Amino acid sequence: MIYFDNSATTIAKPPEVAEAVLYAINNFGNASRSFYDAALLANREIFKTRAEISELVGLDEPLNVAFTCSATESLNLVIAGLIKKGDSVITTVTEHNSVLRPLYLAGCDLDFIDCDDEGVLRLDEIEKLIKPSTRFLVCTHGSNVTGNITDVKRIYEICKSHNITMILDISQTFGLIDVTFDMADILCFTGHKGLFGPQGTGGIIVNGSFDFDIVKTGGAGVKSFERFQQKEMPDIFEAGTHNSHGIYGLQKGVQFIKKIGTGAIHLKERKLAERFYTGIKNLKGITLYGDFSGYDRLPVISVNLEGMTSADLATSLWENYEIATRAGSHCAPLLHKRFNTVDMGMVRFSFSYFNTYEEIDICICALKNIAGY
Amino acid sequence: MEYVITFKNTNFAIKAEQILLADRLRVTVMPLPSQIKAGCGICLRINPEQIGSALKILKSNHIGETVIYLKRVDNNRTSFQEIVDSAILM
Repeated sequence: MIYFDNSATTIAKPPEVAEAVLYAINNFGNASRSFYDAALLANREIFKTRAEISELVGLDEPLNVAFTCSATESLNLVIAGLIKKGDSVITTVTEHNSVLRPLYLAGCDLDFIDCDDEGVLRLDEIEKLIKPSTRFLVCTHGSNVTGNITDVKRIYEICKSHNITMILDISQTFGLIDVTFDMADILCFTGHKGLFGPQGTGGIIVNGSFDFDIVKTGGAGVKSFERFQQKEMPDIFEAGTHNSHGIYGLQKGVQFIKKIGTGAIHLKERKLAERFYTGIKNLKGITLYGDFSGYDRLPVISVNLEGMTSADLATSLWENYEIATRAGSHCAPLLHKRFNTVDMGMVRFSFSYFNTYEEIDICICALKNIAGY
Repeated sequence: MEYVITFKNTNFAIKAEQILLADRLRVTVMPLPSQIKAGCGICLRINPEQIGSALKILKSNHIGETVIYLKRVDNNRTSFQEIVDSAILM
């Protein structure tokens, strides 16, 4: 199989990730619940993983990292914990449903930053959308559909000047490019994509203190006789047993990222994507979605071929060439409406550090064959 | 005789343990004695020679809301005396 669905999850991971999960399954007790070696081992490795992740974003407080099972859970918890019915919130038309649906559920008043024909957000419009009552801005760092990277530092500067709390979805960027706290107040991440961790890992990283409402509660190993969960990080988001096995695997993924460096990772992935883009951009009947004018992109290229639905193209790639891609809509409904691809969807090719140039060339040949060359 | 340090939650207890071990202090995690009321189910024990250094390190690392107890065993009876002014140990 040639695997080009790395925006969904990375399958090729550093071997130490799986080794760590296996070790943890056989050796970890329940963290935060007791004092014997197996319980403390889990506790210490969870703490170490917090430290590795906080260091990756330039924070020196490991306890500002809370673990969840996914970026979607992180966004749900943060949005439900902060945003109330009637609050004015700004978001964008490029968002994934993991941002949009929690916002809809919160019942807040939404204003949307629009994008141009290449999916680039119109950041000049933000100031016009800000009302005296605007308290939050929630957006994604990099699009899972177009691969466009948004200038979130610029957005954050605007937010700070208006005392707006900015929540950033870094599902597609964490581990691929640098993520730092001059980009947002709160970061929501997944562990199983660019960080090469296991599925079922994710988290919330905060810079500063926020008055989160308790939206998840239960056993936490502390203050057992109080009616509610502790309100401080990371406990406020961590009721119940941790996924310590997955978190230990994630630790090894993060250490791999640090060893290679996001600069080297981004460079390799960028070269893969550029080679693919160069090979297919002039194919007859092809439509590419996104801004390809610069190099600062995620390794994500979504296309359609004239005369085929995205499902047909992805099926042909899989059944005839064993190339795994994603077809259809990509959980970003407003962007699909913007691109007029609600019905046909798109085929998304997303590359990883572990893909090869040979795989790219095979895929280019496959697309040429399908397009009738 | 030894000292016991309690924390507001398990995360701070583990953070404190890691910081003190990194500074080569001999601390041991133990379950919270039933005579002590605290939110966290585990605490650290440390010998009298190192309690002063440990408290300074915890303070400089902003590990707040700690409570220090002196553990004594007299006539097979264990007691924990809270050190109200822990600064005298530093």
